[in-house]
Amino acid sequence: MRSNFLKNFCEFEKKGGTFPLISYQLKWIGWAIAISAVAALISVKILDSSQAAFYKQLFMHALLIGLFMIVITKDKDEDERINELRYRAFSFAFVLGTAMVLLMPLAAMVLDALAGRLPLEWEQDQSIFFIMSSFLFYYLMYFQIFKRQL
Amino acid sequence: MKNTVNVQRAIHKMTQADLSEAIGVSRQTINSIEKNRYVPSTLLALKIARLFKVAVEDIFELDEKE
Repeated sequence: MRSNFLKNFCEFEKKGGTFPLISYQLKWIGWAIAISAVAALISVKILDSSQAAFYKQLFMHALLIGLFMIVITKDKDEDERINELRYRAFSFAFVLGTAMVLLMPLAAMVLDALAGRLPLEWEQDQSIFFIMSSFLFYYLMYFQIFKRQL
Repeated sequence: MKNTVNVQRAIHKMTQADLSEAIGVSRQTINSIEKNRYVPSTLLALKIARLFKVAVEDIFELDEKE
């Protein structure tokens, strides 16, 4: 059964199968979720609720869900060029996002050393929000740049 | 890769929108092909050639560097 699934998957890819994406209309829902989440995050900061930490995590997660929905929705004029630009943006976002996650703690250490803050500490923000938002933001940024330039 | 899509389009009195509709891509894709910013797939190149009733080589040509 497993090999059958892999075989079907490879056949789909061989025929130039496109990445499974959701309807273009859902992009607006994604934007609505993301914008509402940002507004909610700001209000949590202002209101200083007793459960601020819980709400912060909740709305950060909602922001990621909103961004992810924007990323996986089809474009208005979906064709082979948009598909190629999407793959290119995915690969750029992956490489740049990974590089940033790997290099950030090193950069922080160098800056600490330059500022004379010793002993050096390995500060690495490995939160899901940091990593995921980097990838999603880079993807959206590259996709928009490529669409305008190419 | 160079191409003469805009020439063929002019011969057949077609706009970018007409061509894009005929071969099922966006107008931006046709614009990108004509400006040599995007190299179309073999499938799309064949569709364009078939529409203009010419060989693919009559529309698409390799650059000297390629």
